Amino acid sequence: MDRAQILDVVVKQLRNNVDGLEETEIDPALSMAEYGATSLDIVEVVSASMRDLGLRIPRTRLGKLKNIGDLVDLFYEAKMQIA
Amino acid sequence: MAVTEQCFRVEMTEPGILEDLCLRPVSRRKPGPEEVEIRVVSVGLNFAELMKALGAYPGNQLDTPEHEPVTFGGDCSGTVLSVGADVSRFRPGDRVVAYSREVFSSHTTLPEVFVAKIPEHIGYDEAATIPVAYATAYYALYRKAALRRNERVLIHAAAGGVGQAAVQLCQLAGAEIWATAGNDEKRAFLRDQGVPHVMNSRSLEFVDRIREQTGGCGVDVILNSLCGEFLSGSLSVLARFGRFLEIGKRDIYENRMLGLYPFRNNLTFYGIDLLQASPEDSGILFAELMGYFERKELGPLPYRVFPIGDVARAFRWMRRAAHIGKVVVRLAEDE
Repeated sequence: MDRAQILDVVVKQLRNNVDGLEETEIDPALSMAEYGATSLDIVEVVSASMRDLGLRIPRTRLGKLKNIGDLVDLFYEAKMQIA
Repeated sequence: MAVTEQCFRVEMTEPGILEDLCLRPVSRRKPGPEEVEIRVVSVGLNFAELMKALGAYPGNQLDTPEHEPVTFGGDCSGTVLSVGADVSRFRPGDRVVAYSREVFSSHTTLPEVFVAKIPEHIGYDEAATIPVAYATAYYALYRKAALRRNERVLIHAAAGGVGQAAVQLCQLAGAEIWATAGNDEKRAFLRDQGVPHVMNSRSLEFVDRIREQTGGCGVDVILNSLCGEFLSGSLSVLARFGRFLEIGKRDIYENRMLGLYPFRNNLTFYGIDLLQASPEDSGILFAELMGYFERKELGPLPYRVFPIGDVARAFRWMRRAAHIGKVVVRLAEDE
């Protein structure tokens, strides 16, 4: 699974959990908050993405992420470790 | 033939995804000597339960051990089914409101100190908005801050559950309310309630505005749930002899540092978490609080109600933080 596929999963979950993003182009350089997600929306987007990807990452490692791209990178690295 | 009543509770196998909220069958529990069994009609959601559902409660204080389902508490209303041998305040059929860690189920059995009668003029959904939000605001503003007439109170997130309870308590006390809220709709709602000073909770402009409009004096009491620079900014406009009431969790559990310099002005900081109160103290507080509703000095909070089949949608609605007051889930029809 490459980064683009992981990004697709995160974007799908972001659209599932935040209203009004159906037609919006999602830029990984931005944060979810910039797309209107509350901090608890983000918690669920991350949990749901992890489930889709078959990953479990402790929440403490998620605190320092700046944008959607950072999250995708973290998921990608975790995927690589499993593989 | 009597139909056996279906008993269920709201559960999640593991926290994280709200769609996983489901109803699972459970059996009823007979009340012990000082307990009451209630058939639940409505449940009021609190922010703590949402955080528990998402696995995001600070300090994991409410986290359930792994491999055990997550269950939910908070506020409920309903009718008394049976009472323990030593219970004299209630009898079967009484309309009651209660709170505990295990109320989000069709039937709940809990100590009578957490139970109060619903005043006749208040409905089940309305009653379920009262306990935790009001107990928190009441304990903070009346017990800790000892709020007095004409004092200035800054209520952050005043359109939320605790915020709305605080607005009514401040109006009753004759205090002057300075309120913040996160969007235009909430701010308009607060103005309609007669709140004289309404500001934005997503920007630090409120700091300058309070300083200017109070002639540099600031406010006497702050009910805070915001974190980071919003917390320190608020503290900077607390007047001499001011009381800071912290009901938020994040900064405390993250052990955020705060300078002591502002405290030279006789300031007091209260960290508030009613979960730590003893059952006896909680009972006294709850009974005292319900007296205000009996006398019609306080009213239920604004709310939106969801049927039990939409329980995930109810949690999700609260997660979006777009609601005013409380989110209530209706479990059964009232009779």
